[in-house]
Amino acid sequence: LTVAVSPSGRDLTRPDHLPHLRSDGEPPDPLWLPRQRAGATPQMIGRYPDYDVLANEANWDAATRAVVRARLGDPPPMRFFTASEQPTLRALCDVATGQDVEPRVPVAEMVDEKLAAGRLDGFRYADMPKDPDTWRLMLRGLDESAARSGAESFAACNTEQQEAIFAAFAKASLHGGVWDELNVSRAFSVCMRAILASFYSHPWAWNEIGYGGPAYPQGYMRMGPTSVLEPHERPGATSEDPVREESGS
Amino acid sequence: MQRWLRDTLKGATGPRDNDSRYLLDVHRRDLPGQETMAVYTDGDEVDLCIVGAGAGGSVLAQRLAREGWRVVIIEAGPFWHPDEDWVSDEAGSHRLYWNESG
Repeated sequence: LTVAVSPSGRDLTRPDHLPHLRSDGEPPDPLWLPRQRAGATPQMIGRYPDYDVLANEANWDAATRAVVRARLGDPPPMRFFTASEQPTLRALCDVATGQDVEPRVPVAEMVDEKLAAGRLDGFRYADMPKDPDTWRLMLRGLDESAARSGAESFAACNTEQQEAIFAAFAKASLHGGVWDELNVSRAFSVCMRAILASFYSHPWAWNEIGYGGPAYPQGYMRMGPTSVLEPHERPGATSEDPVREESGS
Repeated sequence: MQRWLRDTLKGATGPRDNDSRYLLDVHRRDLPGQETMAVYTDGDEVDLCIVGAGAGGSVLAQRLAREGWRVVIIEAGPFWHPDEDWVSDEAGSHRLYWNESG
């Protein structure tokens, strides 16, 4: 590593990535990770710099390829969230997924698209409003919490303030205004369900974590006798059968 | 089969008869078996009527049909084509769920 201090001034010399094992209990700045060389990842850093899940797309069926490819283009303008809600939503998605520079997975647009199309999850807690209403209340609550800490809005807060409010949101320790009308813990669950499902459905996030991506029809082409190999498979190093027959069979 | 004989044949024989003989035809896609699937009219008498082609009903129908039963399944949901509607992607499959949210 040639960079020892990140632009934000954080120490990058400790690549130990398990927060609980670190004396300060904080995750390290992700900039210690290598730059992505193949394909793209969020912020172009990741643990698998030469891995690109899209290099395998010729082995996917056409329907799967179309669904994954559709996530890669520029997202359409938001339809569900109002112009005044959008900056708060973007700031929330950025702080939740740790995305601070381009390229970003357009999580805010993906959440908006899901809510605008009415593609809800089909379930909700008995003491919670419908998910679209929860989202609007939640964004208002974040702005209220930001105002209480002296900022104009959640989006206008600096990163430390946003992370502090977000951490309080995660611990359900936000109070006052909207938060007194809402089960904060469940609101956080509703929020993160949509944000994480959107983020990790994007091929850039797959590159970052080394996820293998779709597996069809490859893997399902030669089912049946194990002696029949798929085109990408190679014979084993030995012909030994791992499932031994009982003697005398 | 003796181990030495099977090793000599080197995979030229199929597996012992088991459920794998019912697996999909590896050389065909689309809807294998559709043309041989029995179709009954409203007036036909059958042995069993299953409500709901879910994970339980579908398997029950298949197993009993193998044994020669005349089986009908009634399903309220739409028909999903395995090649065109099913994708190998979790977020892309959410629309298949029966969640009453459109």
